[in-house]
Amino acid sequence: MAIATATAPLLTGSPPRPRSLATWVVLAVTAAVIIILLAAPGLIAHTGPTATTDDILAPPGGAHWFGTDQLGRDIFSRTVFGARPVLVASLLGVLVATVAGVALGLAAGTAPRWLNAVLMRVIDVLLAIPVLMIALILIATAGSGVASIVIAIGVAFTPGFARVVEASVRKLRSVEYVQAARVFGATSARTSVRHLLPNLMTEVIVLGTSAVGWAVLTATTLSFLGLGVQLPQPDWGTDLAAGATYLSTSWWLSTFPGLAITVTILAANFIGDSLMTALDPRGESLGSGR
Amino acid sequence: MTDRSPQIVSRRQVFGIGAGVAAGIGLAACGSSGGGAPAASGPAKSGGTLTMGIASPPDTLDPGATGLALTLLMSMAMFDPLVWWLPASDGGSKFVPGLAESYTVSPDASVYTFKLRKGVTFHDGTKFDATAVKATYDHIVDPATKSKSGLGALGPYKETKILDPYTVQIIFTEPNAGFMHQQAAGNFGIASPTALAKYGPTGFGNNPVGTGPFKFVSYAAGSQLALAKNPAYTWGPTALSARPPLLDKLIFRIVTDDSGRYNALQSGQLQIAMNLPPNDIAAAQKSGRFKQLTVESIGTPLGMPINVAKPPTDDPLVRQAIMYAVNQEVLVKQVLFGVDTPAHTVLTPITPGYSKSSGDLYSYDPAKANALLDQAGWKMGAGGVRTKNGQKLALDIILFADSGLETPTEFVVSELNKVGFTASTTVQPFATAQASYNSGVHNLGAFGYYGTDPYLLNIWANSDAIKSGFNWSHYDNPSLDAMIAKANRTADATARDAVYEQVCTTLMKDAVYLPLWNVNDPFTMAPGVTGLHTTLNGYLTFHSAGLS
Amino acid sequence: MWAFIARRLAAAVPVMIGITFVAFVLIHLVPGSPAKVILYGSQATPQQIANLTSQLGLDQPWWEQYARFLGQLLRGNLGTSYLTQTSVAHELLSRTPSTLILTGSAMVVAIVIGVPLGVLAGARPGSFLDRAARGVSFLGVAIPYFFLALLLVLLLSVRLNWFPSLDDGSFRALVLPAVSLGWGYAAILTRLVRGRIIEEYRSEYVRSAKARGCGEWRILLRHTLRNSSIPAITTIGLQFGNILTGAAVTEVIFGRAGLGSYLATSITSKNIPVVQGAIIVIGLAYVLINLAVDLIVGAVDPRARVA
Repeated sequence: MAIATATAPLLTGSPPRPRSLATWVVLAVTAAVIIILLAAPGLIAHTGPTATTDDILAPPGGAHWFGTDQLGRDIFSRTVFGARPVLVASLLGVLVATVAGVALGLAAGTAPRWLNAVLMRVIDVLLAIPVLMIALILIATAGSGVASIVIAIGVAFTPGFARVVEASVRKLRSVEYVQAARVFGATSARTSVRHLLPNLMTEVIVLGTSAVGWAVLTATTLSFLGLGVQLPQPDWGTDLAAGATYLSTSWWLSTFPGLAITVTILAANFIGDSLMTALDPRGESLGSGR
Repeated sequence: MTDRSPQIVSRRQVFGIGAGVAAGIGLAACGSSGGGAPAASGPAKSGGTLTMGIASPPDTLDPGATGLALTLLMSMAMFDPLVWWLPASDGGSKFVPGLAESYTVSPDASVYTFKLRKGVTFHDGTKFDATAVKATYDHIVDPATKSKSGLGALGPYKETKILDPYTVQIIFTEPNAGFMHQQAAGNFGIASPTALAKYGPTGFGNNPVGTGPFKFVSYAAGSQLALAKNPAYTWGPTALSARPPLLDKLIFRIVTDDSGRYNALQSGQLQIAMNLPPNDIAAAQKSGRFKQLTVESIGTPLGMPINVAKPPTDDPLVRQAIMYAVNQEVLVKQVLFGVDTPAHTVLTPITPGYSKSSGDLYSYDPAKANALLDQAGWKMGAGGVRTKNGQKLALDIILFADSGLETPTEFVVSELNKVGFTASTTVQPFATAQASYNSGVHNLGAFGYYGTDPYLLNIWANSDAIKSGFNWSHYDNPSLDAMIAKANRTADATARDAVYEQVCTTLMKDAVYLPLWNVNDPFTMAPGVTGLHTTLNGYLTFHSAGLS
Repeated sequence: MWAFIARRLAAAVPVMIGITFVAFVLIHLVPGSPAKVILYGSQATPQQIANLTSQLGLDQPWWEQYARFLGQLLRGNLGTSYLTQTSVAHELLSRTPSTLILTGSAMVVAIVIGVPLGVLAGARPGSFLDRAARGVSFLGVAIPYFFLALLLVLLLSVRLNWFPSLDDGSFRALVLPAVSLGWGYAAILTRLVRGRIIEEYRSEYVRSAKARGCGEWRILLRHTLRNSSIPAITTIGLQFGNILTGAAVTEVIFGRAGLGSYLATSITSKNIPVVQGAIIVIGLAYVLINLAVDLIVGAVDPRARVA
């Protein structure tokens, strides 16, 4: 499926390698940073992100490591605090999509033929609507903010996940021991949970983690368009857009949020890749893409 | 997110939230009235193509049908009014003959008689005479045209009578004193009756044919409008230019993204960029590479309607405190880089009917604001927020995307914080915001309105516009409604101004609107652009524009 | 083959119907009155607003509106834009070429940059070239395209004046938007191709070709390109929604009058016919693209021809 094949592993076909110490360290540090950014950004930033000062449009340096914006707010602080909405939106969004996608895929994969056809068509309809439209309409009805972006990402990524899960489920169901279990009277639901779900776990984890990078990009694109957290609350996408007209004179307004997004996506992809290499080195869970 | 004067459609504007989108939809608050003086002097060469970048696309090219002031800016190049309204050399204003050589108004201002100019032809060769005037006005009131602005501006129209081929009468069912200002506004540019018949009421919007200095060549939807010189044009007012235009081609390029417009000006793709964000204007001026022309706005300045029906702003003392707490001068200087001028009343200084006294009612006085709030029973509490009966002094602010008020509102909020308010701001897409305003869930909103005649106050101050109109202050004052109606029936200009002064003073006393700044339409241009004139109702004219 | 196509088309019909319903529901969920949006800024009286509302049929119950919409659709009429009074079909059609050109060139950029980079990287895994190519592709995926676009315009257009910053119909004006939009996908292709090359290199026929001393590279390339074209095509086909979003943002930044920005404005101003028409057209495009992808995949690899 699109998202998964998009982030194809760096190495295919090689045997599982022991995770090196370097990888462990990086993963641990990243986890720590994420927790701090989510829970206590104030530990890193020394001023508040919305505190206005008279030091307007100051270049990076001195008291303001990343400079200040047009209302005198400290950009380093805004970059640190701005991580929260992005991380929450993308992580939660992927979580929602994973749960919903697995549920939908399981249901479609274990359903009788006609129900499967109906559900797959529903998934097709959902896939046909671009995430931007979903987000725009959501925002117009429910209002902008992190919640709307979470829902938009959830709704947009779910059908893709569901498709992959459905295909795997169908494949698994033909496996002998599942059929054997059914001969012995196990109901479909029990079969799902006891036999199918554990086998899907690996695939789901791989799918989910490789989607985080895309989710971060989508979340920041949406907030770049103004659909996310509203000013004066800090957010990378919002601040990037707000600083765009100052790019030729005060480049620091947009550049630091932009770099933050880049680093985050890099990290997300790196982690996704490591997990994929460790759990599923041959890329089996990625399916044929259909 | 992005702060900028309205009508600046940024990518956020296009996408409806935050830093602006709501692009081009009904944001007619654009028009600024001309400062009069030509933008620059210097020997201009004949020929050449002038490309101007505008912030939003037109809805139609038919001036009689459009709802956007921006469209009128462009249609002014293709159409002529009967009578122009231009700055006078003494700083005042005067009516100048256009397609009408002279006119008379009946004593009760319900019948207007125009004597028409001879020897004028439309771009399609049709001769101009009284039938064209009648066709134009009938077209505007024709339901099939679906006219937005023109129909409302025309008011109590009855009919157009042709007295002879070069004399025409426009008759109203009631006195309509504002008509002379309205008809100069561009909505009533005279259209070719042949074209109207040929293309139909809505088709004309894709094939506009007028008598103006430029004629329509092509329009690529959402991209650009291309016009070419009309070599037969010799009937322009002398103040603008009585000769055919210098330019060969005039192109209006739609660039919704603010940064995009400025980038294109810098790289030379545009010679004029309209409505750049204030910081880019400041940067352009500092670089010394560009000239600046500002056209003052006409109508209601940008500001925030205060909802009189929802606590705590249902208390007049609280509303007045808001008026005293905000320093418009600092707002304009700090946030808007001085591009616009601070506004203190419900009409801009250029608008007929403007009264300075109504603007003097309030001044920046936080001490007074504090005193009023104390008087109203709001005691200052911990954390700098006032409380009364356990409730915080909290305001719900709703803005619509692309209103240009995002950063200014942050400034307003910080001013209000200083006297003990707390506020939360939401930005909604335009349609959603309108619904919110009509249902009254806001304490402060965003607003601005273009109008060449003070009768526009009727659109947003009349009590009949609360449920499903533009009265977002939910102000219900029947005696004010009557005052406005009376003003429009008063034929004598001085008497009319006196009534409007009363109207404005009442509105300001009741503190239903927090004026912030007079939107000036800034045009940033390359130094080679010359010969631009402005009209009093906010248009830039290209009659004598040239490139040197 | 034809049975395959027929089956696919049959499956597409309920999807299209579902899309029309979703299109209708979604835009009607947006609060607000289109009449008021249209008339804001004009000197419209409340009476005018009410008139316009019933003119647009917005005071009828929703099922009547949906029935009318479907009826129109079946007659091939996508409705009339509230804002411009022009037919929606005409408005969409006039903006489609720009979007198609943009997304097409972005795909070209992705292929032209991504595939050679992938081949270079996979040819010598672990080498400096490989690490450099992988680094570039990693970065390409990570830099948000809207940020890249702003930087490119600042450096290459405003400062150096090598390219125009606005669309003027020329090929030059297409370069920056196509690159900023396509680079991310180039990165994806690089990794895909690189993985395939490494895999194929170890495969039987390449090794035997090498042993026989004949052009292992020619065979390698042919097999690689053929086998990675499936996942590449399916990737691109299923990225449809993302590509459109990216195109919309890029269009606004570079002043291109395309579908994306037009659609967005129409949603926020509740221009119902335009949004409905656009969702249907996009849905149709999606269905057709999927069908095309299925066909191509089926042609390239008969094993993939599933029901």
